[in-house]
Amino acid sequence: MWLFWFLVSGIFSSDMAVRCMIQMKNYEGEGAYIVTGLVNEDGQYIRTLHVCGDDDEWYYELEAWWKFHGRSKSSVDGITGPTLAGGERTTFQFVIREDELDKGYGIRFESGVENEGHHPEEVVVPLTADLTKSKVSGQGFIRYVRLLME
Amino acid sequence: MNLPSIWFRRLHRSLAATISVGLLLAIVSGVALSWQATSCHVQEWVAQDDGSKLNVAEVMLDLETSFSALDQMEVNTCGQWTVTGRLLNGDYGSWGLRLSSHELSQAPTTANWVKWMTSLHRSLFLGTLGRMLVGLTAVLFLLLLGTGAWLTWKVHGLGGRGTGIWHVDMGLLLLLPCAILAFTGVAMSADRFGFWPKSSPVHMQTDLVGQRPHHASQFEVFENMSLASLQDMKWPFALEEGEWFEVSLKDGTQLVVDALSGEVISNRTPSFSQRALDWLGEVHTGEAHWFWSVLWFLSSAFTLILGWTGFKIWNSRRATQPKHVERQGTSAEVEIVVASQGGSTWATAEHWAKVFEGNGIRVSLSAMESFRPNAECRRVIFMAATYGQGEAPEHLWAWKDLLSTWEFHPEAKGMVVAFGDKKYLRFAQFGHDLADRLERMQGLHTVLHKVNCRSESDLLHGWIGTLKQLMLSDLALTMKVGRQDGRKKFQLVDRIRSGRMVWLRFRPVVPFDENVQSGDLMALCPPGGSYDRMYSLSIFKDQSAGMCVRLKRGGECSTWLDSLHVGHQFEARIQTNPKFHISQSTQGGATTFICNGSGIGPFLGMIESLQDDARATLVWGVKKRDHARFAEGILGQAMKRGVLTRLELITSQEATSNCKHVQDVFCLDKDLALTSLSTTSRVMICGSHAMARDIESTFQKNHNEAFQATRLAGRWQSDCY
Repeated sequence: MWLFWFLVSGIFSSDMAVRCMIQMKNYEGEGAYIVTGLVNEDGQYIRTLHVCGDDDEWYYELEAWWKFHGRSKSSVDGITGPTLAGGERTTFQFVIREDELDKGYGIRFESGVENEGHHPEEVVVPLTADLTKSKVSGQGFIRYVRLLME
Repeated sequence: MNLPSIWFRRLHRSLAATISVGLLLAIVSGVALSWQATSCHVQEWVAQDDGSKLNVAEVMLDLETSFSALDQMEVNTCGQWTVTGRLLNGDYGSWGLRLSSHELSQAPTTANWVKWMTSLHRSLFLGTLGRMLVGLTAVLFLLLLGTGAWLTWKVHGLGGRGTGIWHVDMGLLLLLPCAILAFTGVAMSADRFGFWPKSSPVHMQTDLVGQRPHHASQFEVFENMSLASLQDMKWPFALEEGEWFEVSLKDGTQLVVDALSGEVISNRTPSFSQRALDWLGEVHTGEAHWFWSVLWFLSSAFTLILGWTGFKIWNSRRATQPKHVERQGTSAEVEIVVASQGGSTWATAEHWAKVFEGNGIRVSLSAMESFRPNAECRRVIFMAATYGQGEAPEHLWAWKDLLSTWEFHPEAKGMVVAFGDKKYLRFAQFGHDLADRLERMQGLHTVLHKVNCRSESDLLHGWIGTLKQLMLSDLALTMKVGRQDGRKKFQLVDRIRSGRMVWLRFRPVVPFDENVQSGDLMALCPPGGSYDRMYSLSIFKDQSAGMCVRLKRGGECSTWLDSLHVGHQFEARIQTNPKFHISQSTQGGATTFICNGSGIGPFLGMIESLQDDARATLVWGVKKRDHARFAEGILGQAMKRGVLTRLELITSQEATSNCKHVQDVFCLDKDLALTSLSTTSRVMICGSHAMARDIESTFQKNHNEAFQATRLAGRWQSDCY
């Protein structure tokens, strides 16, 4: 029965597009690797939403995400873009399911720059139905992020 | 400042060795990346459409017919446009855009191998450390090019002619492109590590006058901006207050355009240093123009060959490093001093030394840097190679200081044999300078003889001049002289092979001159050979001649002689060798013949020519008893006639007693040694230098007085090789 309801809820839950913008601080150094991921209420990664940085040899430096991604070996093809240098911004879009809203989940931004440091929870935005499009400041290389549910 | 070239050569070599691995990886990846850049230019040329004539506003308007939301639009180095946004059907992603047809296609991507090569080229997959190594390699590569150019100028001058040395000629051709390539690479590394001079961009900010909302495609700034000048454009996150378009132009200018009003709120023009850096980066990557990418492809490919030729030069020099053995002795009658760059002068010096020693003249052989004149020696020969355009060999850059420490015997005479090449203006200049300085500063009466390109005839003249200057008797120089006239035909009448020796007996088609005697030399040149080889002859009473040939592995002449059959005719020249004739006055006296191996050659004829009561002794060293079989007949007859009263056949490989070498006979039998050195006796030695030296040492050690007396009286005759 549980399985039935699980499947039914999966079939009837619809996908929702979320536009996301990351604005970097003006720092010196290499481009930042930034992973955007869906995390559960415990902060554990559930799914990778986007990766800034397409050279997978450096992925291991995003330690928290690498524990999830390296183990699951899930593909990030199609959801990767270039690294972001100081002062740059990027806009991208990812998809979440409606049933993932208001369940305590969050959208987590984890960043790292070669020789400059690593911020495992640079920004965490609660995933709620009234996802605000206001700026959410970062703690490391990110000045702010903006999310907009389409 | 005239710095010695050896410093630069060593630096050049050390640099090449130090950066070889890093440079190899950088160049191999560089070849691949320049190929990619070139193919990009080709793609750009093939895909050239009219889109570049459009302005940005027109393109934005056009894109809005396909996209509901736009995020970014950029062009890559191949001139391919990528647009990122959400299509009207809701699909989000990146698409390629062909401007002339407004068609969307799959977004252009960078091939994995290009990413891999880029990472290798940039950082050797070692991150910051790798980038530092690559940067350092580029700096050292510049230095390598500099030292190479300096060496070329120093050694070969600036004549503009080819030197015939691949490494040098190719290096000169590649010097400029490689220098640009290395410099641009260094500039990029310098920027990466903050060494590139930074200056602030020109930044103009404008306050917004008012909000006059327009559609983006109507913004004046986009209407006046040609697509050809655009590098990258990012749309605002939302069309609202406080949001903006980010525009990067190909000239490095960055504009921030208000999302609602279209006013330029920030204009950052890169500083001169930034523009210079950007241009250098584009040149380095070949993005600036196809010319650069093609140039880098060719230069990198040929630089690999350059590295290989450099390695070959180093390796061949290492392999042909002279394995000379200096022979120094206080009792030397002739001192040979060698100033050699590559080792070939040593070969000539050793050859001359052997000829002197073969004639019983004691020789010391020294490298110039380790030479200290023997105060007693009155004959000094300098063999001086010229390096570059007239310099001393590299390691002798301080030769003038060296000379100032020398003191010669007041009556000493010097001969400078200067090697050089007439195509250089300062032909054999070092030898010239050396002779001049020896004469003026050291008071050594010196004669100079120049040898062009080590020609045999020049060398022979040098030899004759040397004998004259040093007041030495006429000695035959068994050297690689060119074929001379006076050849006669001979027919082989008998051949016996014994181990690694072959005994050949032949007759002249025209009878020998009366003067020809055993001990004279036969000059032979094998078919296709370029110079004569000398063999000691036996001349027999029946007008036949014989010679014993030692078969050398790979020996051109000995192999040919071994292949001759009875009846075969060949041409040869007879060269008299009076210093090794058995004199008439000695005939009848006790002669001790000492030889090893094929050194028996002239002795068989000499023994046959002796009278019945000659009471001679023959000490002959061979490897095995069998090897002496060819001489059984002649020696048996001599024993019967009483010409030979004692025959000692020493077999080194079948020795059953302590007698293994010919000198052992004289150690064990002191009476024989003393008889050989008695005032009426004569010693004749023929064979290897090593054997001759051992015999001399033995006599010096045990019977020095008698030995020296024999030598001084000219009763010690030696003809060794």
